[in-house]
Amino acid sequence: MPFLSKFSSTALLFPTMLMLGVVLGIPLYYLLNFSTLTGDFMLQDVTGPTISNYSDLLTDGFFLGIAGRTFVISFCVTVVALVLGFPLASLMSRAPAAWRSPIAIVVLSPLLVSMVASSYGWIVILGNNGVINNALMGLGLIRAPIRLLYTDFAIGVGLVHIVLPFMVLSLVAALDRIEPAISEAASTLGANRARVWWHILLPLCVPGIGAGVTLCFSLSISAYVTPAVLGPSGPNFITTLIYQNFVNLYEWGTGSAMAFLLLLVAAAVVLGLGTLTTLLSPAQRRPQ
Amino acid sequence: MPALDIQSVTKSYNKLRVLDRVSAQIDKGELVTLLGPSGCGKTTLLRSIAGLADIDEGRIVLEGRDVTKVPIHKRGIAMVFQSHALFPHMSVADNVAFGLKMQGVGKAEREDRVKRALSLVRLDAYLTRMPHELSGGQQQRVAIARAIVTNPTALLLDEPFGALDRKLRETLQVELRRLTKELGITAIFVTHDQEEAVVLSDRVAVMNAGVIQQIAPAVDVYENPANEFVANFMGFQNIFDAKVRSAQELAIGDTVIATDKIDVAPGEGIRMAIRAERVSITAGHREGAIPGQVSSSTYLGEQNAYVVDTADGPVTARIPTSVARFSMGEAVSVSFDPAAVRVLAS
Amino acid sequence: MNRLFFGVVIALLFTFILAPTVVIALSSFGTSEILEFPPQSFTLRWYAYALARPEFTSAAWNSLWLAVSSTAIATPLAIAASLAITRGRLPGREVLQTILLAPLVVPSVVIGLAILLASSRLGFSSGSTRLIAAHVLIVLPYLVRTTSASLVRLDPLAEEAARTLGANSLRTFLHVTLPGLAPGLLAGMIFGFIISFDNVSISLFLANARTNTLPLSLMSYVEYNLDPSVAAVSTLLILMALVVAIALERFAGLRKTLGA
Repeated sequence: MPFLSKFSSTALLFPTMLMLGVVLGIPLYYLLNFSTLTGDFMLQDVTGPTISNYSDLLTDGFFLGIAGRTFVISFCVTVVALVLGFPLASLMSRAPAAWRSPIAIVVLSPLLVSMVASSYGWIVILGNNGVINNALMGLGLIRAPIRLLYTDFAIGVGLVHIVLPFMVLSLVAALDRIEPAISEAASTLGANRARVWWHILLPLCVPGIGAGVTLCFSLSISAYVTPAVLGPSGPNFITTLIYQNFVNLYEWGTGSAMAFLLLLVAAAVVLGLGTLTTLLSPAQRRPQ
Repeated sequence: MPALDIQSVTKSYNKLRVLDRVSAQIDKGELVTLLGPSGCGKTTLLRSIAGLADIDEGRIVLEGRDVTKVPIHKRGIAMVFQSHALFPHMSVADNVAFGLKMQGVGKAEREDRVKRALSLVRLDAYLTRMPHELSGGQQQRVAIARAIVTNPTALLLDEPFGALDRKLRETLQVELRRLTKELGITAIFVTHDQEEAVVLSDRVAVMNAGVIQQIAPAVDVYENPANEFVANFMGFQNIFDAKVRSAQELAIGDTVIATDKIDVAPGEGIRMAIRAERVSITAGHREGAIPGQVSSSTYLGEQNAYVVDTADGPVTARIPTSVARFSMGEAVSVSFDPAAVRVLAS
Repeated sequence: MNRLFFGVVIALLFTFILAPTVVIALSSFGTSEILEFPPQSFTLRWYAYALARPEFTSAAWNSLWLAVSSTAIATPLAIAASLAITRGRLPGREVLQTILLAPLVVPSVVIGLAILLASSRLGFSSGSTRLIAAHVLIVLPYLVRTTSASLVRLDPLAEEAARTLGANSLRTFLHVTLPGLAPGLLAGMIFGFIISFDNVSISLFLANARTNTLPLSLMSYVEYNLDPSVAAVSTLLILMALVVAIALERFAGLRKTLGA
């Protein structure tokens, strides 16, 4: 069916849209709804609508502290992933054909391996009695183990591991769109490897960098497993804080408001970085 | 001293020899085309000169400097690619200025030279345009300006006009030739189009199977092919087995034909070639001509192309429509212009 | 020198990427009661131990059932929706596409929470239905992405040719379109399966004791014990991922599936 009529395409789209409406639209409405209620949710003694949950949160030092920490960690994770992503992306885009499959399987494996499983791997590596501390002590570099596990650093390491493949995929897509002759032309004109990267490849990768940064940052701020397993005990990330508000504290109104703020931030990141990328993308630039 | 001295260059990909002890000397200011079918090694040779491909053996000497081990960006060459390969994020002026910037040429001089290079390709009004705002021909002109502005020791062109339509291609061929001659640039031009090679170059190097089959002025390659491959590739439609009868006679099957002087001892078997335009057809049977039957006739406008089936195989002839016409199945004889018969080296 | 430096960087990065999986897999064979690396001596007993624990086995069945059923439900929805947006002439196609991929933008913690709130408010809390519905939601965008990417790559002329040869639209779909998009679709299904199987943040809010999933039960087990049985289960999950990776690479190319 080369071209579907308006009627049949609507009919084909309808069940999915209905499902999205029921399973995503209605729940998000209720999330917004709950975020405007205050009171005791266990006893179902609530009042609203009010914006007090939001105004309380935005003046609550503890919440703002956790939110700020989430942003700082996610920002660092994204920057590190960007730096580490380039060598991997350049390897993937120019590896000989026979090597491509094994390289892709290794580089993209964190996407397919259960996050819970790899988090336990990090526990064994980062723990007080873990691989790194044992190695450092064995070499005599330190006398007592350094605390690595259950820190923000551990969250960062775990998150970089998870988001790195997304960054690599975005960068590879950008690099693959650049015709090889373009960097060859730059080399023949006297540019060494570093200058080819700086003047040609990096500027042309801006769309890929934008996509990768967006993806990695929004995945980081909404990650749950990594902070829950590798982070310090207690709420240490916005997602674990939301979970705690619901399950332990029964603060459904506050928790909903936090969740809604997280959603807004995630959407803003996608929109904002998307716009920024479009503005910075070289192909869009026109002479004055 | 040649501007470019290619010495016994050899290269293999996975045990397949793509360049087999290729040697050639190219003089300063000379325009040489590398001509051959795809896979003959011409592009690999060009990329080896540029440094974009490593070679296994041999040396490449540019103006007396052995550059075999010199990285691409220090060879002082410039290259024009089939896909133009302009930097899509830079204006026309920035594209052309790139090589000068890499050489550390100061801003004022850079701007001056960029303008001059662009005016040479008649694009001085397009300084601030972006590459995607130009037509295909303009893009390729910018690519040429970008390459020549650096005063390269050799200008390498890899089928630069392959993607353009015929008319544009012909214009740019003429322009490129004028430009390289005016500036005295040594240029090597890769193409698979024999017409392009003949029009453009001082000398043509016909390549096949990683070997230069013949390197000679265009006229020679076109009129005196060194061997059967070159004859075939340069469009000799008729190639036969023949036996040398005397210094001026060849036997094809039972027919004896006259030729110009032959440097092969009588009695030896050789291969001979002749272009279809130099074959004539007469109705009926004739002494010193090969008898046969017209088996196909194709109208080409000014000419008719006939295939005549003979006991020694099909012969293709092109006869001006104003001279004669033959019908299918007609019994005819074909004869060859003695001055146009070429004996091929085996 | 440059090449050597690049090689060292790549080797370090590969070590970083593979470290947690290799370490957890090796430590699953250790005899010690707590996770250690490298293990002093080797045993398979933690596998036997893990496979005999009902909290792992029944959770594994739950996860399997959940992943299979949510992918099975999402697949026809995704095919229909992808056909509509790639072959249909609908106004605002870009917007529709964005809506279809929206579940990717909404953090899954938020999705889980929102569904929990809505279902409790609407008095609809049958555990497995809402859990499956939520998983269909997160699997769907991946399927839509791979399927519509395959559809875009499919030459519409082949379909037109089939029509001129007398096939009606259903037969054209079955004989020309579907076989053409099969690799992409299959890859999307496999990826959807693994997305659902490994999901934590949604199940966290929606699963109950009866519908507990494997990653959840692993997480709660670890709160009290850190013995190598966790590593044994993790290793089985890693093996599954490896099989999936190879299958995806074979069917449609891993990069194309994940990056489409």
